[in-house]
Amino acid sequence: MELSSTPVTFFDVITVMFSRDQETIMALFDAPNILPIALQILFFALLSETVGQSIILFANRVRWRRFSLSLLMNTTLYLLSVLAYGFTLWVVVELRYDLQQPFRQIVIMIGLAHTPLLFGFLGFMPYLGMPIVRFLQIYMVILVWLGLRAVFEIPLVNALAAIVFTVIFVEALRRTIGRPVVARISQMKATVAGTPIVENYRTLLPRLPKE
Amino acid sequence: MELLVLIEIAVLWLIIMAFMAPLESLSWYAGWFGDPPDVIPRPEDFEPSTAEHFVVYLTGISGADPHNLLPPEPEFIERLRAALPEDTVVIDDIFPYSVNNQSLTGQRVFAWLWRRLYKIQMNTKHISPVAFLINIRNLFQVAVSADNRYAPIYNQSMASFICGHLLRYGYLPGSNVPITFIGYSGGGQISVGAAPFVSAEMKTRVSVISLGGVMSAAPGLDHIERMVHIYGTRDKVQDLGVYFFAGRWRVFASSSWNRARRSGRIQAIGMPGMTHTGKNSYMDPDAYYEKRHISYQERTVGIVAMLLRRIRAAH
Repeated sequence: MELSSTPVTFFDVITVMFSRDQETIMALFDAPNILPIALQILFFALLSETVGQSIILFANRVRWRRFSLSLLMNTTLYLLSVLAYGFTLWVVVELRYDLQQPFRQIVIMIGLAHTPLLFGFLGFMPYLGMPIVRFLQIYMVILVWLGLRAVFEIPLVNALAAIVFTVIFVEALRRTIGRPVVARISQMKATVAGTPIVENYRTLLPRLPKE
Repeated sequence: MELLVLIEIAVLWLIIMAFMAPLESLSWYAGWFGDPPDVIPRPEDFEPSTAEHFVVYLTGISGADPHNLLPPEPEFIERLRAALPEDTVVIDDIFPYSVNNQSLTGQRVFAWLWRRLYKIQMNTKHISPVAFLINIRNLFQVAVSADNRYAPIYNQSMASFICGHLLRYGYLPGSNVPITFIGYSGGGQISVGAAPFVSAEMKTRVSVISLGGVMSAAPGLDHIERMVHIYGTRDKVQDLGVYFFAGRWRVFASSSWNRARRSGRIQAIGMPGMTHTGKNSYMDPDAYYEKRHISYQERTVGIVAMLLRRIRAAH
């Protein structure tokens, strides 16, 4: 398949990503319509993962009329947070190496790396669901790691260090000056769901009596 | 090629079934079909029973209608009733694979399908491949009960319905009358899941007798008075619990199963030659121990009745 000069479809990209052929995957970056397709993959992967984790909405007793809207809202917010992570990662790598790579490249890389999570909905299955979704998440992180190395042509260790630094930095922001943003996000989720959403849903569930 | 397509369809169907499995209990908990009751209502004509022991029988995964159990279960239960003191109540009309106790053949969208499948199974001595769909559907409910995320919802909901039944049969909460579950096959998992909640609600200690139970290392095991696992030496189905649920592996020494085993609260009784279901199963009235001149069913009833008497005496 000649990918560099012709537009690719959603399913072409998924097939290539599961082929694990690095050369063909890298060729995807030159396809003229790869950015919107990478964003589509990212959106559907995050939607699928959100469906897999929808126990949170059930435990919060979100009514069925608001359930789909909540899924869409949570996915959109999740997408924005992944893009924020991507932007921080791009800034970190550019500040450290000054490679002059456009932000577009990292968005495409992150989008493509989320391909395994298109199966994130399987996380909803009883008993086997959690191990499956954990495997898919680890697979995605490894793809981001390898993708960072390939796109920016930096050593593996440095790519890992950049990811770790980014995660620590964004988490620190979230817990300090980002608190108003986090509060606003919770408020938006509650508005759509019609009830405040407790993310640590286990606290809402029936508990075993004390011995 | 056609075989490959059939396998693909079967795998896809299994994934869809597995995906749908938690929906019933979660949507019920979320109040999509009316608010779930926070308090178990006491029947208006409640009259305390004078019974000294309550036994709750939970059927296996081939069950679809608790009022119409598959043979030879009704015969087994009648025999068990006859072997127990008169002041023992045996409750056998609970469907353990639905949080609202709605049988598969009841008010459901696909009730017509389940009714047909169940009829096929009723008229077959062996397990019908078509009717096996019921087993798979119920097996996924067992998986819901064993999943750490869904278990609190499923098991507490089941416990509510079981408590409702106990009240209907005249159980007086706080009377300290012993309650014992008999969980056959997947009913074993539902028993260990629901028992702690029933124990707290009815304010008494609860024991479990597992009859070839396929069980996980449910946290509820920490709250059970004792559990006796009766297993057939030729029962490969109950072995699935040993392989499939990691908490039962010896290597996870701190799991609730291993803690209960070490403290002696779990005991196992092997039944020579018995299989899980059908011919030579625990309830087979036609298979005999030749030397003893008793059927497998009589043997199982004898062991279960003996255990129930001991539990009652020790309470």
